[in-house]
Amino acid sequence: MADRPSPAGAPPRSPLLGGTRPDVSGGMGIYLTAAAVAGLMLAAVLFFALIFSRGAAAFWPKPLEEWTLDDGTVLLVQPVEEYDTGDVRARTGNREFMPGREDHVRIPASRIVSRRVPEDAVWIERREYGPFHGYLDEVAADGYHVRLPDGAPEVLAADQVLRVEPINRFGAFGRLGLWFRNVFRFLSEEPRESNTDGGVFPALIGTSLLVLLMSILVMPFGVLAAVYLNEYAKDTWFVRLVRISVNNLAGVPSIVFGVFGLGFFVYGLGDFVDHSLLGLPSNETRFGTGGLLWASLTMALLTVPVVVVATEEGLRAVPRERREGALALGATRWEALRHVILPGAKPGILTGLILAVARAAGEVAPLMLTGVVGLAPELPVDGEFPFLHLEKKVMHLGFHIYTVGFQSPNVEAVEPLVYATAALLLLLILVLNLTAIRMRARVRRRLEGR
Amino acid sequence: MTPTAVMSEPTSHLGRIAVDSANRRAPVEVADEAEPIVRVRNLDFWYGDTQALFGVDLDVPKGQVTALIGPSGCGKSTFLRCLDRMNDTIDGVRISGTVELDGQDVYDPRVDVVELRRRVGMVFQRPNPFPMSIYDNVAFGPRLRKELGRKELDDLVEKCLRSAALWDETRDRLDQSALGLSGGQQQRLCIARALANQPEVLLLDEPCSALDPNATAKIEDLIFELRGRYTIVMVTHNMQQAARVSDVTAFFLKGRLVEADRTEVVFTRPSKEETENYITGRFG
Amino acid sequence: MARRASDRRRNRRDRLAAGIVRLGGAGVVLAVAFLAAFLVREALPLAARPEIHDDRARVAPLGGDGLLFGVDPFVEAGWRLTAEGVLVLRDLRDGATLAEARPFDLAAGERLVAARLAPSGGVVAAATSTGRVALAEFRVVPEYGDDLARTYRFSEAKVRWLRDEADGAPITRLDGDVEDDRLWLAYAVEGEARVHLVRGRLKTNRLTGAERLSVKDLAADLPAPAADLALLDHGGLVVGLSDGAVLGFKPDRRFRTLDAMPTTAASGLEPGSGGVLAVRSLVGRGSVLVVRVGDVLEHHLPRPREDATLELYLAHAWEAPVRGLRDVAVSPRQRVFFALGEDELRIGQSTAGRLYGRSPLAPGWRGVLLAPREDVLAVWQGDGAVRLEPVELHYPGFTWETWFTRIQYEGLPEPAYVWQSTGGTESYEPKVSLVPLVVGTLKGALWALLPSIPIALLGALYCARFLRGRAREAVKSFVELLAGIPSVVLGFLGALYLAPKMNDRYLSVLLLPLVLALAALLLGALWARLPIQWRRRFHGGRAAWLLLPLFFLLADFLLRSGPGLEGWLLGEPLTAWLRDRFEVPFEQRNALVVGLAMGFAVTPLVFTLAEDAFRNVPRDLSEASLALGATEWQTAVRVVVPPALPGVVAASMIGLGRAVGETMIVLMATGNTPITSWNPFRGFRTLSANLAVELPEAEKGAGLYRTLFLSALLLFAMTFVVNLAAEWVRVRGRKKL
Repeated sequence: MADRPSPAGAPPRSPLLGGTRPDVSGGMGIYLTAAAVAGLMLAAVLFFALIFSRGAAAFWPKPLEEWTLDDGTVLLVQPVEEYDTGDVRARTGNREFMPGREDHVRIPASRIVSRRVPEDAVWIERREYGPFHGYLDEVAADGYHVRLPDGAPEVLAADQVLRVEPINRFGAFGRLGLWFRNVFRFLSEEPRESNTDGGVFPALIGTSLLVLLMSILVMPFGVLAAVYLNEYAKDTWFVRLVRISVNNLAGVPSIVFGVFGLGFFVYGLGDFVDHSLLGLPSNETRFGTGGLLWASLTMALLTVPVVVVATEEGLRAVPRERREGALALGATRWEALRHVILPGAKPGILTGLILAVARAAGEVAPLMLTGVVGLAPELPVDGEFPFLHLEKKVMHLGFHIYTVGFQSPNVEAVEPLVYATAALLLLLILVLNLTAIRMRARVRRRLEGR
Repeated sequence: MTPTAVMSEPTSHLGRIAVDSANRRAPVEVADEAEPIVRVRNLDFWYGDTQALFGVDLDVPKGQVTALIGPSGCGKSTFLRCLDRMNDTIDGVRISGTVELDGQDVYDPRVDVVELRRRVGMVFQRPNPFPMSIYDNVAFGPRLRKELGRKELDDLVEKCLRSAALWDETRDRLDQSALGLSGGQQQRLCIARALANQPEVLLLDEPCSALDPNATAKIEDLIFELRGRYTIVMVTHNMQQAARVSDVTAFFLKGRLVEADRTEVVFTRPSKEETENYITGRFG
Repeated sequence: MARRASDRRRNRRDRLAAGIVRLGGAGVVLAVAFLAAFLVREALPLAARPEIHDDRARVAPLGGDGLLFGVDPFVEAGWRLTAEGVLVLRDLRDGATLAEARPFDLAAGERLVAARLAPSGGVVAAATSTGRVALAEFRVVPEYGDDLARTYRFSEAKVRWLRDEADGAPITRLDGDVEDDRLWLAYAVEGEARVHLVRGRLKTNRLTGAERLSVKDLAADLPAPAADLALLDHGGLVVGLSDGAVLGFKPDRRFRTLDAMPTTAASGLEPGSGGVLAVRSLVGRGSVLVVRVGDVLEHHLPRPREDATLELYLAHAWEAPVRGLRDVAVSPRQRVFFALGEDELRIGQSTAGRLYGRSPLAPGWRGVLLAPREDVLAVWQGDGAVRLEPVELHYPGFTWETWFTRIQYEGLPEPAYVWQSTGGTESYEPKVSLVPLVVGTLKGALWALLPSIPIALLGALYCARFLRGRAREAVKSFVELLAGIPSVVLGFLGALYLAPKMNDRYLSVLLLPLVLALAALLLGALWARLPIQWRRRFHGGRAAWLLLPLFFLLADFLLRSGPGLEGWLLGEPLTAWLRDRFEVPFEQRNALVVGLAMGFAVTPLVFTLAEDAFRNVPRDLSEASLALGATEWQTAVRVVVPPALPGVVAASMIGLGRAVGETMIVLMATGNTPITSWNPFRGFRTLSANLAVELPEAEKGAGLYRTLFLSALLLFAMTFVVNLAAEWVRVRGRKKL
């Protein structure tokens, strides 16, 4: 638009329309900060995609391919990976029949003379030696009469065979059904062959019990501390001390809690319970070694700050008028707390609980010192009195990932299992955290009076 | 979020003022033929689904002080923030109508908001000096554009502080934190800071509401001083203040401009009943 | 009245509730205080000094004299070896003689003239008056009678003659020991300037069980007759001469020659000149103590040189440790010794090079030894009785020198920081330097923070200033979600996915952030030059979504072409190139892998905290800045960042605290080798991972256990200080606003 002559005394006007001075450094700045967010999001998305796709793929029934190699060897395999070097890796099954007792092969693709997908090939899940790939002739009294990929007959003992799936006959829906069956078996079965096969049921139970017990222990304590900070305390040096303690407790590395748990709970309290309360002979331990109770107590200590912070936020969200109203009606502080404030702070408390649970479900380091093991012979709950055995060692999903992924002799063979466990754990924690974040957002909205 | 700019002819709205120079009694200092520097037409404004302004038409005369009065929540601050597009920084707002500065619609998509805000200064309700030295506060605007040398900048800072009647109190501690000033001094510093951009229009959003009477008096003196050199639009809920310092008064009620006229007219012979009720203190 | 009562009840309940709530508050403080106090309590005994409770000593009869003496692990029975070759076992509780044995089968008139007990106990080397030398292995074994009372007898002694020539050579200096199927004997003949090393090899016939001993003798000339000598492991030996020289010898691999070792000394030390009185090996026979005339005690050890030969290195020397230094006694289990003077003794530890407090010693003592369980010091007195003094050694081998300074360990080429707490053998010298662990901790944290702090802070600024409304909340929630990812998943991914994948594309991985940043800067500059309508269409809030697909394509391309790129530029993978050109060692699970995995854990935490800090800057300020005609970027940099700085620093420090304490990621994604190296292509071990690895195996109450508690305390203190500092910075920043 046309500029009018400027009045006397006023500075010369610059035109309002843009484009006169490109703000290059500003643009670069904004885009650089945007790059940080984009980079982080990209990494996160790729991370989730990797874990979940591989976790899901672990249950996907791949068809059995018959490979004939240049030396005449015949294999029935599920291909796993192709490498830049031209090698292919595939799962052969039939561990006890393979040279070197390996159920994976990695060979140059050029060695494969012919490939086909035989309709009648079966995949047999077995109690030992991993899966069997071959052909089923008949089920007789003395077991399953099968043929190896090269046609050699074998008999599998009936009690070794868990299920027979003719996966090459399945259509898409059949495969999907099998996928769901596999997932279900993974969740509901015990691990076999020192964790390299089978499911994670005991780890699920162990994690749940641990988290449950921890919640029972941490909630009263955490809520009390938060109530103290928010409702009872004035701004004294002691309150500041409590606050600093909460903050620092949140910052203490989890392994230090584990060290404390081992030293104090297991070796200290455990010994005391065993020898002073239960009167066990000095060479016998029951509570004097890691167990469910000590692991839960350690986790409870670790999650106190989580509960305190979330509960405090919930308490702050209760409007001032409401608590003053209650007090004005002649309620004691306790009554106001019980009937007005705590119910109002429920979302915050619940948020704290969920966050604590998520934290405990994902934490491993302190647990491996205080009572979580890679393979527990029995569940801590059973039909025997007192039904819940607090002194027993338990399995845990997070620790399961560590032991299976790092203490197995054949890492390649268990990789799908580890991805599946990781996906399960991640899914669990994401759902918990998402719930907590949404609830917290609601609390915060109320806090801001929206 | 893209504002729709609708050029529309002034219509016979409730709050339209008749800018009829023949009818006006001009104050001594102001030139009689004061042309409007800001021209607002048919301005509607929404916060989300809530409409806050309804078809406001207003001309702001150049070099004069325009006071916006009205009960709280009537939209006068919102209106003020429309003039330099400060409302852009709030999520979920919508605007229609036109706001012209010197004949250029400021809601034109091609308009550089940064440039607009340089030419339209703003002072907020609460004094908000930056946590830096007094000098740096005043020099903030000019430094953004890196146009001035060290000497020129020193001169400008002094000039602006003098204009804001703050020079004598701060000349010895220009390098000290602005947060050490009193509330009134802080607000005057904010005015000085705005002046350093040499704006054409200065928007004051209840500049005295957070201040004590002494400080308020000083700010009012300052506004009186600045009149003529700058076009000033100020929001106030204090009618005496409006009567004391303004040339033109606009009365807002429930998002509508009820009446706008020479201040003495509004305060002595309001043409609307709502205005009279408000001024005589019957509500508000 | 009823109302009053109910009011009273209500009040009581109110007071009770208030009390309980207050207790809850105090509980948190107590928990932290107790946690710290407990760690201190477990670590504190390490500071205790060894004590000898002379006042609680008891005297037991051993009867008569002899060449050597010893006690059983419970110090209930004692034996002595007489010059007639008789082993006499007596009950130290009542003085009764329990057994007598004559294992040496001496000829008529043949007597024992010298004998020496091996440091670990159980092996005696004895020389006879005819010049024969034997090694005898025997133990004192407990027997339980009908009344379950404990009594003792000798086990069947195994005696092997390693020098069976009755040539009458007077042998007074000797030392012998058994290493699996090898017997070692070193001796010198009185008056001869020679030293002999004998190796015996035992071969057992599998069918008959008969033993066959083949013996080979080597000798080396000395400049002067030997004053004393001691064996090292694998046939090494150290000879002290009366003229003050201390010489080391080692047989060659084929046992043909006995080679002298060159001698060196720690900087600032010089071997003493006084004539040698005694040479004794410490347990494990990895080093020796030398006693010189003039009250000088020295600690020598053989250490390998670059050409794989050994040199004899003087590690420590003490002047006048006790009055009238005569000899040393050594512990059968650790590198603890007793410097024995005329009338006092002093406890020392060779690894740390420390001498502790003094204790009186009856003048005219015949011999001193530490009981196998290290709880009693037995002093064989001139009158034939043994004085049994309770000893509490505590943890003499765990001192601040061993934790924080370079130590010359036995068998290592130079003083070094080493963490290797346990070894294959019982007599292993524990190496408990915390330096590699602290360095590892800091290295891991550094490589994690290097990528994550910039990303987190820039991203937080973007989220707080340039994103609006829903998008901002979504990004913030998403990042909070990321903060909850369990570290065990990240660790597993780092180790089993990242490490092998990164192997041949380090160049791409390192270049990737630069390329992405450059791309963003370029786009930003372009954007700033767009016409204003276009600029508004792609306003700052949309930049991230615009960049996301671009970044995906760039990253995909760069990582895919990684191996090819390295091959084209360097002719081989970057890691191989670095190794070949600059001798930079490479491990697959290294600091860069950990940095990426741990960075992914730290970034969301710092991001959310920093975002809060940016968002807590009062809106007043940013509005003022915008109203003054500042651009969004100018507002962010000049007005929002400075006041948020304390919060941002605090956020980064909390990130540091997290990185320092992280366990599972480093445990899984590094090789956990405790090396002191800042090389990003190598692994490391952190304090936390070390705790996870070692604590479950550590014996409760032992020095290692307590050292681990000390390292936990160190970790606690590190994070505590960092968190306190963060809190302090934040509070100060808030006060300033």
